[in-house]
Amino acid sequence: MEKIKPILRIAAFLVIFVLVVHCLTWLAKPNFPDVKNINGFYGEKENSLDLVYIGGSAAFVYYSPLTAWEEFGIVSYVYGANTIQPELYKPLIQELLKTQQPKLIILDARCFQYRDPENEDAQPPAEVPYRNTLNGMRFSRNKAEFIHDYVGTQIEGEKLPYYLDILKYHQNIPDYTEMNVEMLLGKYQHPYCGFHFVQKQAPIPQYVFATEEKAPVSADTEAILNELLSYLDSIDVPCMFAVSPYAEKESHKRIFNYVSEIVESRGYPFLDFNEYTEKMGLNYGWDFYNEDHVTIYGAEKYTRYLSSLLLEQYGIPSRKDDPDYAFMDERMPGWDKMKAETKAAILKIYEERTNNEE
Amino acid sequence: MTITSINFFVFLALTVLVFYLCPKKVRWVFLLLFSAVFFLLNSWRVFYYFLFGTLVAYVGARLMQEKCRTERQKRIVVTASIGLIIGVLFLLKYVNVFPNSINAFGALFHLNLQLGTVDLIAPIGISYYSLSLWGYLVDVYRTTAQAERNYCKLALFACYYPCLVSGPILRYPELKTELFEPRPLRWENVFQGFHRIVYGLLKKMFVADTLAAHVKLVFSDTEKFSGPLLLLGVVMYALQIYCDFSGCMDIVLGASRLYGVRLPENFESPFFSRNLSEFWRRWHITLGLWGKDYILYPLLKSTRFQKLGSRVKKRFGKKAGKKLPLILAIWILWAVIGFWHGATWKYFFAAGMLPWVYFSLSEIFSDCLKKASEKLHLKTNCFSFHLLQSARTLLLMLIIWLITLSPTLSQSGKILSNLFSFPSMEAITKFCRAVSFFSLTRRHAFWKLFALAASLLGITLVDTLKYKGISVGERFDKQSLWFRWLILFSMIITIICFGVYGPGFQPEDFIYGGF
Repeated sequence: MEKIKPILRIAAFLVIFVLVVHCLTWLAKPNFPDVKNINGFYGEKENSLDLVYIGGSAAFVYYSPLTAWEEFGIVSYVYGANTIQPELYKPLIQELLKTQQPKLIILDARCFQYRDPENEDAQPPAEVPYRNTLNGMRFSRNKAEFIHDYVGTQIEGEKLPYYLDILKYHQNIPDYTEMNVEMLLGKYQHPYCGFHFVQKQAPIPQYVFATEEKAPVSADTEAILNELLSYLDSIDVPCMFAVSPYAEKESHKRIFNYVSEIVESRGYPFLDFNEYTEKMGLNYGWDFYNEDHVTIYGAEKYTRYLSSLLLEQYGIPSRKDDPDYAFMDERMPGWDKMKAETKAAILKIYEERTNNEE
Repeated sequence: MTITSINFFVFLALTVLVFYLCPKKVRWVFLLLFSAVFFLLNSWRVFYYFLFGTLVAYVGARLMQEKCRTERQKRIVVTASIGLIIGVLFLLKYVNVFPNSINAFGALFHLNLQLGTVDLIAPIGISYYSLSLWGYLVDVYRTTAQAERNYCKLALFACYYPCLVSGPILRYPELKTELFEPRPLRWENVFQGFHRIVYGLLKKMFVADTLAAHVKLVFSDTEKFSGPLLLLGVVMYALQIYCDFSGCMDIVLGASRLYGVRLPENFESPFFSRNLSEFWRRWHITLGLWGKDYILYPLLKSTRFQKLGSRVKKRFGKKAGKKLPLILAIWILWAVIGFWHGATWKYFFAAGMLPWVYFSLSEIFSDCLKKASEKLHLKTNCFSFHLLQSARTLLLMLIIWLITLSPTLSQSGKILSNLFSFPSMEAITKFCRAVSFFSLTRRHAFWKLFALAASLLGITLVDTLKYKGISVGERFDKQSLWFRWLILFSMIITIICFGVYGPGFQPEDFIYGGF
């Protein structure tokens, strides 16, 4: 016993050390909406979601799961982080399939043109987009594999601070919030099922054109798309690619034409919702806050249109009368309050601007 | 691979594991292997300098012991060997001192001399292993050590990897037993080594590097941050350099202790010193002892100094005959130490000549001061007098550090004069904001300041115990497990939360690593 006592002591020390580092890692997580969104997914009741909408801000300021619940009875979550890169879709899907078996996964397709270096509005892979998504993820094989494959190749930098993000965020620890503690305990639930409110409003132009032309994406992007499609083939969940409405330019449309051809040739639907803005009733002078994003008003219109489409054409069930899904109603008071506040703020901005213009 | 990096600790953990898994008798071979790997990882391009230095020391020592028949022959061999080893050090680190100085001198007279400089890469630890090999050769010359017959053992002595970054300077007779005797696994070595590493990391990664930001701010514009702010900046630098260097030593000694190898201490509560000679006995101890044993005493014992002593004695009296050779020998010693610190005149003056002036003055006036205090009936053996003496010693050291912080020697006068002007309200506000860590939240600033104060208090406590001759490591080991772990985890959490590391943070290089 005397001989193994020091070894036991070392083992106990290491266990406590790992626990301390684990706790501090969660306390150090930055209080960003992306972290809340990604981590909040773990708080969803197991096998409860019928739809998961994955993407960047082109998803989580567009699709509002609680509107879809309130008006259509769709149980869903919008899962993603700002400036998401398409290579992050695979680890996110792997992560979601651990706890959910959705009837449909919608993948935002805007990121395929955002990350293309040829594109004038390109947002190529960088530390921030990667961290936006990875920060909220629990440590898992998926996350580790992604870091191993992409950090140091797609973006510059050492892998270690991605595996151990406390190396980057340790100075945040004293500023931890209740959210950090909930994340540490695995109890954090996103109050709006991943949706993000923005209290801004601005009129934007609508570019009118019609083109069937195709502009190829970079070889890099195409390889990532093909790898993603192969992965989707291997899972037993229907998927769909979608482009949410924005001030789409002709150059973007050519890229989407190219991407949609590849996606559809592999048997997945590709919907550019810019073609349905009139049906949605989107008003470019009111429903947006910049050329790439809608306000809560625009989000509601988009969600309603998409939800009715999902109910009618994609077999997504309505759970409104199902008592097993009553837990969804618990979030409604918070949602209503925030929605009212945001709408009021937007109205004020609009009025101030129009008054100034006058 | 810096000794505060995760890579280093992975390397350390793996090598300690391998070390204790292999047979006791060959463990030193593995230490050599680990040291070679560490050396090559850091300096593989200039590996041959190390090979040259150790081969010279090896051949020189064996020649002296086995071939030289007369004292003269031995002296030639020892001088030539040391000359070659120091020649390489000089070439790599000091070759640009003279062209730079001549260019600067020419610029004073508007002469554009533009003497060329060369960029040579020095291998890691060259300043430290060169002095260790110098000491080894002198020890063999004096027959206080036997010439090592196994080249690999000598190579391990020179490149024992924990010491390569910032020393301590090793002595062969002392380290021989530690390195080459079979080292069984003793858990107290492992635990005490680990505790020491954590303590060193706290000093370096948190205290020193946090203070470094404030020091940088003050010395970025000494005209703006003048007067009391400048003084505060130098005091912070004193704490920074102490925590940086002694923290590094704690990591080095702790890492070595994991292999069961005890290295000589390099610090013994220097800020409690009553005078400068005591300060230098407690600060960078191994360099001070090395200087005494291999420069000062040989000089004082040399025929020339003896003759000088007797001449002065005949002409100016007994005391002068004793003190003048000593002052001269100390000048040479401090000139060497000054240059060793850095290849610039600034270091030569601040780390060499200024301490020499202090020593010389204290030698000259020591009797007068003693008599004066006796006549004034000063109570010298009390805490308040000790405090006064320590403050005086620190003040003298602050002047040295202030000069080393100046960009050049010529600018140090201006910076010294800034001590006597008053800063603007804007500078005071900026300094206060810096102390509260700029943009951080109040809660963060509070906890960081609290952790800094608690760490400084802890360091003072440890140094007080050390000053009283108490072995802190052993005393700590006797405490209950809960208490030890509470302290250990407090230190670990402080390092994790507030340490300067990771992307976006700029950890400072070890100050003595540059010497």
